[in-house]
Amino acid sequence: MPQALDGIRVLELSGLCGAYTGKLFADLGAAVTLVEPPSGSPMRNKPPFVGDVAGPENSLPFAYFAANKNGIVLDLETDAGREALADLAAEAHLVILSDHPAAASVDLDELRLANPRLVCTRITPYGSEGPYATYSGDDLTLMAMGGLLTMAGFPGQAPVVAYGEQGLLAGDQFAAVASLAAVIRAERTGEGEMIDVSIQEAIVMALENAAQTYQLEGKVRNRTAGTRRAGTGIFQAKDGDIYLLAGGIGDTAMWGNFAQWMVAEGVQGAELFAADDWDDQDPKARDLFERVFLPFAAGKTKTELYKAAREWRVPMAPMSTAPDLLQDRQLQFRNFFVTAPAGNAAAGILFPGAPYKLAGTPWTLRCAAPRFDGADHQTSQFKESAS
Amino acid sequence: MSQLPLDGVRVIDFCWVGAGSYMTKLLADMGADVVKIESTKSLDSLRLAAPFKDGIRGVNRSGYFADRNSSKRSITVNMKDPRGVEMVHALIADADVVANNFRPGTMEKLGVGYETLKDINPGIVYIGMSMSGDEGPDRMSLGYGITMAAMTGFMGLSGYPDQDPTGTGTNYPDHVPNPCHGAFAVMAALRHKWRTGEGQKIDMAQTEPMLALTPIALMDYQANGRLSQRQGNRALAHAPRGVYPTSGDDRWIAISVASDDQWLALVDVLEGPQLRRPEWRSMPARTEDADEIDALIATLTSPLDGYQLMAALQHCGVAAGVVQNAADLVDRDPQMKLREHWRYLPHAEMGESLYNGAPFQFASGATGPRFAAPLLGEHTSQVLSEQLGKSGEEIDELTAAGVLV
Repeated sequence: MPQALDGIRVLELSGLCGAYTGKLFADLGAAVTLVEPPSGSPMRNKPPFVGDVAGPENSLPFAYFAANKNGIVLDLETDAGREALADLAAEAHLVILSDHPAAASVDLDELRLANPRLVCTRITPYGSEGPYATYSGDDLTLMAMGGLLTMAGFPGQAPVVAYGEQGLLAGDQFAAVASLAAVIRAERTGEGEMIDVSIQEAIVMALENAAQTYQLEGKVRNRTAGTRRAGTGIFQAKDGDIYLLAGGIGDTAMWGNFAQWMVAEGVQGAELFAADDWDDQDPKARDLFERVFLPFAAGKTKTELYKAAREWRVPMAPMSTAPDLLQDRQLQFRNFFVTAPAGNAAAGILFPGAPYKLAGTPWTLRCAAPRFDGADHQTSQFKESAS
Repeated sequence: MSQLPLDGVRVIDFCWVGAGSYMTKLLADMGADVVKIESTKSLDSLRLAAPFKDGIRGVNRSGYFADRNSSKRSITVNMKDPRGVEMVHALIADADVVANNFRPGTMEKLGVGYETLKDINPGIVYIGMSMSGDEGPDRMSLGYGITMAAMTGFMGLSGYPDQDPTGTGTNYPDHVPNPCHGAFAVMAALRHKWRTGEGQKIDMAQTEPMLALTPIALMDYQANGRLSQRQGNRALAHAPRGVYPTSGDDRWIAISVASDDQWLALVDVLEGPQLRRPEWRSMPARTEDADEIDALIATLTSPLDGYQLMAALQHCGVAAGVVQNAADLVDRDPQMKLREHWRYLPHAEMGESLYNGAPFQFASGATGPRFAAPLLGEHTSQVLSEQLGKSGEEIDELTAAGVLV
């Protein structure tokens, strides 16, 4: 089958961020070449490792984020390395530059001059110019500066960052959107682009309604875990936890659905939720709710509750663990997880596959992450696809 | 100035609430002509989600809705009337993209399922963003970003190890993973269409981008038999890494130390003799004693100004960031100002109101919101006269007949 991004050539000069940008291109068919320094991509050193043993082919993050890519080792601190990069960029559609160890030695303007159709995307913590341009940042400090951290956690305690470096990945995702928009324009008009992505600003895109709440109502949103309205939050089922959002968001009829479900189940006291004067935002409502709902939930499994909630159109989901997800019948039906290909220590385990199904040009896993021992580090592969 | 990247792309948008509308906003802000199909009979519930201009509720007053619907036009059509469906079909015949985030089957019920539309327009790129995907035993699930965060395991892994999970405190998958993945898939399919003339259907389950962004817990479980636990603000190969109090009410700073040199720099800046233990010069020892070190650091940071401390630490190469809130970011952050992130756009009912610009800058010119969110049905006449050649009289009749409402 053809892929949607067949024929697009990408050079990825990444470090600990930027790799997901390249991955989104690679998985839809672009030829993505990871340009590694002589010491190897920094992500090869990122834990956890298979068997907890560090090694260039053992990093789980590298095995996932670099799959479907070719690799080449270039010393960009030398003239020869930079010349090789320039040769590759002359034939490329997109250069992604993030926290590559030799980022300071890369002159994107020069690459663009030599190839006016080229799109160059630079990802930095705060953007390439401005008072914070020289600041370093990791996921935690950028989630702080980007305003998402202040909303996460319990009031009165230090805020707590979300799992899995989502701040850095927000930068990668917006970089991919901007890059693809510019690449498809370049294909139509011949005009390339220089794109400057700020990870801090990408995180600001995730503030939900916080900025507008401040501007329109003068209120500053803060941490609210554990203080939410009745029927909202984490509750215990027989075999784990579930998350319930009985009220929905905005002007919806969700409470009615929930009340009908509880009444139909014959839950003692449930008529309270269907009463005209039920107010889920009343301070006393939370206790009343829990007295009725907790005994019911404790008698059902996560799966039973999820199934019933679906039938009654109530927004509720299990708090899944890794084994739950690997056994999830919906994900299995969709063949969501794919087997890591041979080529590194992660071979044979399952990892996430297509985040979208393009019926005519499907997401495809073609090859494992490039090996560092040289097997995949050949300029020729890239040149072949360029011709 | 260069043309916007999606100039000329026409999108017929059935999305509502969160992720779907945010996805089409990204397309609209980059130049696509996005026509939002609405109805006064069945409102996009985000139109009635806080905050409201002056705190007064109204379908054209929600700031949440506005930010998710910048640069779009809105028409009201009664999809239960065959004349309404016919007009929407005529708009789609001339469009490039159709988007929705309903549960599976809803578009078919409205008469705008993929099988119908591809006969009308074989080149159409059709994206459905239901919660769990178009097929499968749990396809009829319904959810919001926050229940998807639970379902995907993301929420359960976010928080302190000894307390309930806290997640992000928001509907996170709605705001970055799903809009970005949806927009990326649509643009990829547009490229394929431009190269081959072929349209296609995209089925994006809103749980799956979030899972694609959190692979490590699953992989670690299989490779090493380890069930990931909540880590608070700590991370492998970093110590200390935490959020510490500073002067002021509920003010905090995040500090992250990734090397022994950075540790020594942190100790110098904080001027804390109690931190100068020789064994703490090595990462493993600091990791071991993280609780004690965190408590000592908190004592030292609590009388200090967060911004001054951040500058001092950054000067020495230590990653540090003040925990900023919306007021800090909107009113004061000098980097946001320089990048002109915040845009105030004129809106008929809301006045000058606040929108996010794009988090990326194009050297060739501005991207980002082009105009404010539409009033409900603001562009019905405009779109139907321009695109379908309807006269004012016909439009008035159709409105009186309950078709354009």
